[in-house]
Parts: sequence; C-alpha cells; structure tokens
Amino acid sequence: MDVAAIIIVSARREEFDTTGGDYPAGAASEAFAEVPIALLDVVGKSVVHHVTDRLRRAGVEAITALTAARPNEQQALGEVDAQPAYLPANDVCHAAEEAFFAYASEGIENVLLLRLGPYAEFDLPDLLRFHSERRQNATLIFDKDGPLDAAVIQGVRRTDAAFLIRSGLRSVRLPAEPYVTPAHVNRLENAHDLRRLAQDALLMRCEIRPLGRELKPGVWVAEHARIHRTARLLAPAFVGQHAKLRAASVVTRCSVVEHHAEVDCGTVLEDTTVLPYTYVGAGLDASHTVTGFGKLVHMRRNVEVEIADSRMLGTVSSSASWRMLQGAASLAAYLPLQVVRGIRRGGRRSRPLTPVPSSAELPPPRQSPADLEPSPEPVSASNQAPQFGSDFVVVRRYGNE
Amino acid sequence: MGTSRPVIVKRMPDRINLKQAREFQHEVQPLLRSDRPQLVFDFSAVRRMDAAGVDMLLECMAEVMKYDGDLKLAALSPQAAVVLELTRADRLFEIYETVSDAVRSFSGFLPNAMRKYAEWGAAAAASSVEPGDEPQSNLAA
Repeated sequence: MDVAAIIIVSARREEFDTTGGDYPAGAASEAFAEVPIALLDVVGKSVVHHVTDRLRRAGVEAITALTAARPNEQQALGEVDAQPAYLPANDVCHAAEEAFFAYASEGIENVLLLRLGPYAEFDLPDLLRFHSERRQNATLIFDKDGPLDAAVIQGVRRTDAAFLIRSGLRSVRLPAEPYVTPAHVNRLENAHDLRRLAQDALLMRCEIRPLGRELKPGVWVAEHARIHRTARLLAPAFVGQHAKLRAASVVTRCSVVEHHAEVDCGTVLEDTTVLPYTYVGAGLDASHTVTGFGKLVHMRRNVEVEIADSRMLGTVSSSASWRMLQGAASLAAYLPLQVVRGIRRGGRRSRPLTPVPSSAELPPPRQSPADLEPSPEPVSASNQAPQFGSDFVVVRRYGNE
Repeated sequence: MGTSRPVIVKRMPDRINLKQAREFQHEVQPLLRSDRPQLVFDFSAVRRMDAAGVDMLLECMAEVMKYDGDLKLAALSPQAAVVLELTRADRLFEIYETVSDAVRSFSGFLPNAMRKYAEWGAAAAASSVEPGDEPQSNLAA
C-alpha cells in the first residue's frame, strides 16, 4: 500500500480555511488553554500520536504532522516521542502543500490528508478501496453528522490537493462521492469531547488503549508512576508516566492522571482528567472536570475557571533537572521543617494547664486489695495528674457545673 | 418564627485573592462581631476566587458562630460555585439561589425545598387534590 499521510494540527479551523468560510462567534475552539486538543494527552499519549500509531498499524509509513509554532504547543510537544516530523509553520496551509508536493515527487500513489480536529477511526483499507473503485481524484471522508475534515487524494493531482487544502479539507475541485464511515468519531471540539475520548478509551469503546500495565482489571498504571500505598485507584482509572499520587488520594470513575501530573494528599478525583505537568493541591474534590494549564473546566456546570492559586492548581516544571532540584530542596528542607514544627508543638504543650477548681478534684479510684498494700512512696496529687488526660479533668469540671 | 434583627447583605468583590480577602474581612469585621449577626454574602459578581477567599469565608463563619449568628451565601456565580465545590466548602454553608431567598430564610427555618412543598400544598388544596397524594416531583425539583 503506497500511502502517505499529512496531519494538520490547527487550533481553530478558521485559521486553516483560507476560503473565508462563515464561522460564527463562539464557535468550537478545538483548544484547551490555547493548546489544540489534538496535542493534549489522552490515556498516556497525545491524540496526534494515537492517530499516527493507528496509521502505522494500517501500513502508512510516511507521516508528516504540521502545527503552527506557538509556545504552548511547543511545550505540549516537548517530551513526546518524535516519530512524525513536526514542522513548525506559521502558514500551515503552505506547509501542507509543500509536504504534499514532496510526497508527489517521491511517487506516492495516494496521500491521506487529515485535520485534527476530529478524531475518527475509519477503516483505511476500505477507504482506499472505495477511492480506487470510484476512480476519483479526491475523496472526502464524512460520518453521519457531516465532514470529518479528512480526504484521500491521488499523489499526481497537485491542483486538486492545493484546492482541497485551501478549502480546509471540506470541498473538492471536481464532484466526487464522499466516503461515509460508520466508525467511532469524536470531533474534539472542546474539553467535554476530550473527557469523552478518555472515557471511551478506558471503557474500551474505541481503539485507543491506555499506555501502561493493567494492574488490576480496569486500572492502568504507566512506568515510573509513584502511587502512595494509601492512595486508592478504583476502576476504570489511568495513571500516566512519572505521575504522583500522594497519601490518601482517590482516583475513581474514569479519572485519568496524565504523565508528570501530581495529585496531593487527600484529594479525590472523580470523572476527571488531570493534564500533563499539572499539580492538584491537597484536600480537593475534583469531580467532572478537566484540569491543567492553571485552568479547570467543569463538565456539569459548563464553566471554565482560571485558578491562579498554586496551592490549589499549579504547574509542575517540564524540565527534569529543575524538578530534581525542587525535589532535593524539599528533601533538604524536610528535617528542619519537622524540627521547627516539633518546637512549635512543644511550646504549645508546655503551656500551663488551667487551674482545676477544688470541686473538680477526682474522687480516689477504687482500690483493689493489692493496691492497699503500703507503697514505698506516698503518691502526691501532682503525681496523680499525669495518670489522667487533661481532657478528662475538663469533662469532670463541666459535669460538676 | 420571625426576627427583628437586621439581615445584612454584603456584595463580594469580583476577585477574591489574598489581598482582596483581607480587605473584605477587615471591612466586615464590625458586622461579624455584632450581637447575633445575620449576614448574607452576595457572590453574583465573583469571577475569580482562590484558597485565600475560601479561608476568609471560613474565618468569617467561625467569627459569626462565636456571636451566635449565621452567615449564608447567595447568588453564587459558576466560578465561585466551582471553587467552593472543589475545596469542599460548599457543604459548610447554606447556599441560596438569590439574595432575597437568603434574606427570607432568616425569618423562617424552612429550607427552600420544604417551602416549595408548602406552596405546592397550598396550590393543591386550592385545586382540591386528594390529600393522600405525594408531591414527589416538586420535592425532587
């Protein structure tokens, strides 16, 4: 099968479509915190990586992925496995055309053009068969709800390719029958769709499989994840590489903690996605949310909240050396902190107890015959006090009152 | 059950960070320390709120309880509601949809759901519904 693929990752469709299509204000942004959703992680790998893996499994060897060079996106791409060639391009359209011409000059028979955008699990051999049987220059891919911003085009049809790319992969130069796929489709228009894709992956409703080992049915944990022994993972759940779950944290109901994320003590994650390099503070209750990049999107309330307080929602450094330095600093500060806390507690304990009124004195305890034997030292009132907690004395005082 | 004491409604600032929280707390301190204070904090304008804001609310609540009063929250913006839910502080306060609901709640002990039940009962009596029928739908709402 002589097929190449060009994947265009664009934050907004209107950036990519140069035909001046009508896009209403407030249209789906296909981004979370300015990062295209296709570059965000879903159960261990970014959507674009899941797509490239799927294409490779289908026999596509040459894959080019294009994205505009924005700082956030570059950060999202920072530590991913760089199998596809990421070409930072300010003019995505132009870069896509150049990539197509390069494949055409190599003699590639068909080129698959995808915009992510929508995630679709169409059957590639079936699509190519449909395309070759109809003898079309280009074939658009649809599902029951409309176009999927994807097409397959013959390598020699350069003019058709240029037209197709400039139309945002939505129209072809010559009339052609579209290929309608019945497969699993997620349009990835907003954080809700990202969350839904993670749920589908955990519940095996799509071809995406969590990256990692299945510790028990429905619970996947990737390599180097650190999970405290008192943390609870209830299926289905996923914990990514180098993620940390601290003491008494709970991850439940299709929750996903992506790589290098950190969930602090006592926090409960329910039906939540924690994006990579995100710190979730201690004692929180995150339900039905997508959190990351200092933002939290609540699914039920349909609201996006920016949280600037690093005690609640923070960012873990993407630099491994900086993380190591921070870890060493916290380790070095641990003992002095414990000493200071101990001194403070000691100071509190050494406060004199409130004088107990004479009416609150304890009755002498009933003595057993063994106790009646004379003791070598007379027991004074001051010696008796430590036998009873100060709370007990206070309770008696209230009782007498 | 009525009350002659005033109910004070205080509008929260649009952003509650450490600085704003301190200023706000300083502002309401005399109100908190009055005799059996009855306060409603109006959250309709709040757009951003962090842990300092939640701390401030808890401190205000503790102060009000000392003086045998009550503090209620009203008209929570979605942002404030999310932060309160995230920090589990929402279960510590009585929260009402509108300020007027919160103010009215001081003059009677019936919560909203029960008041709706009573209203339904009055309406049902007016339309001669059988007394054995249960107003399940209204209670659920």
